Amino acid sequence: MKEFFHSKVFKLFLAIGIVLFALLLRATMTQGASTLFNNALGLVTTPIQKVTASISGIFDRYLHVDEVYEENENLREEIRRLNENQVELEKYRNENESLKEFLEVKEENPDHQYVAAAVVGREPNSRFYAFTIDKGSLDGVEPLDPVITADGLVGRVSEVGLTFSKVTTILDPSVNVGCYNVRTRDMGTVSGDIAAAQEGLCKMELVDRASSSARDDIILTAGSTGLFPKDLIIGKITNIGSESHGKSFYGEIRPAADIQNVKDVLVITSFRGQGSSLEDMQPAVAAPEQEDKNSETGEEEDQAASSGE
Amino acid sequence: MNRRTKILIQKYSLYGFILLVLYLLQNTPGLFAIGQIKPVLVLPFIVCIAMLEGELVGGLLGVAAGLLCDCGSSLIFGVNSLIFMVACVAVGLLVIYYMQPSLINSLLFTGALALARQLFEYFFYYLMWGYPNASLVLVKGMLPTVLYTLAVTPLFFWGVQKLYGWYKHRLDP
Repeated sequence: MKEFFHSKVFKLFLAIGIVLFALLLRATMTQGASTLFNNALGLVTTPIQKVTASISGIFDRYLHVDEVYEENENLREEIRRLNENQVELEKYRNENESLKEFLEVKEENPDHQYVAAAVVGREPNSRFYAFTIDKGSLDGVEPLDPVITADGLVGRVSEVGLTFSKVTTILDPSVNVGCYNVRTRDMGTVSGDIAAAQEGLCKMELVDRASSSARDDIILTAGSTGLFPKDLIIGKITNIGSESHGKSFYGEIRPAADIQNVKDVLVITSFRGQGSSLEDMQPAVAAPEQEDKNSETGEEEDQAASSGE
Repeated sequence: MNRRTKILIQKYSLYGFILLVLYLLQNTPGLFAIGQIKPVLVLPFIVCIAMLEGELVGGLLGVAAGLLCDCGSSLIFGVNSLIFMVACVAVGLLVIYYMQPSLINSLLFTGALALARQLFEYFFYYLMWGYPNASLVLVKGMLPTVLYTLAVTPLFFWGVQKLYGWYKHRLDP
């Protein structure tokens, strides 16, 4: 064994280890931005992942065709053709439904800019239903951009590559969203809770004890942090309880979006008030980029207003 | 280029291709999922390769597998690569000097590597931050993933052994 530590192979692995450690340090310092290698690999794997993601859903259908093949070759051809048509039709129908829903969302929020994306990967080691989408910085996606479906908030972008992005869901304890109860106007914070996430729920914390929040109340984003736009649907309260310290209530929220099985999402790349709180804290860094984004949105609003007049 | 070099290039290219396919399969949403638990398919593959091919090929394949996993993982880029590289080099050396390339040992190595990777994540991403009920992540997410990965390991050991034997026969007829 000792001779290994004097061999060229050991020196090779030591060099690779140092490079990997340097990459690790760089990734730590530039959280949210992917490395060159990550981007290069994403260019190769994302298109293939798109295909494998779409194939997985129709796998059973083709098994059925194989059985028919044994019974009758002519019928097999016919069934395969019909199945292919059906798959195509189903794909178009789903796409059509998604686009219709997305169109409604767009019409409801004219100040938002969206990028439609498909879920292409779910890593076995990912927690809280985190996933990878097929859109990245080339499509205008940036770290911390909110991710939604037509039903409601899903999470936020945690890392961006050129052609892919990783999304952390609102079931993750590291995500905090300022929120309010649409009926009682009580403010709070929605964040992931490890125990609640096992049942697909998240937790609304810091609810005033004087609150009259109740089951089935709808919770919306408050838009106070500048990370999420105001009035996105988060979900409904399923249970109300008192925190162990006794100073406030908490509510268990069932997200409106089907986070566990989501296939298509919208990334909000720009919205009114985006980064406003961060801007206050880091005027020198955040302001110029934000100004650009806001001015673009502002210009569009001005144009819309003038055309409306 | 002689015949032996051609066969070696073919073999290592096939290893790389299989690794890529396994990565894509394990990341395909819903595929092989029991509830939300999915096996880490690349792990038993690189461990079995390291056992049979030794520390150099095993270590390099470990780096490749780690880099692939880093692309989809929520861990900081580079962590999987480092863990997989060190583990595969260690597996290669252990088999050369002290142990046999057997099914039991492949289960042992795969289990140890999967558990080490999960415990690293558990400690630095959950326990250290003091999240309430952090142990649930370990019990309901990480350990079932390790068990599921172990359950598919015999298939990989058998497959890799066949592949290795076939190429060995071609290289040294």
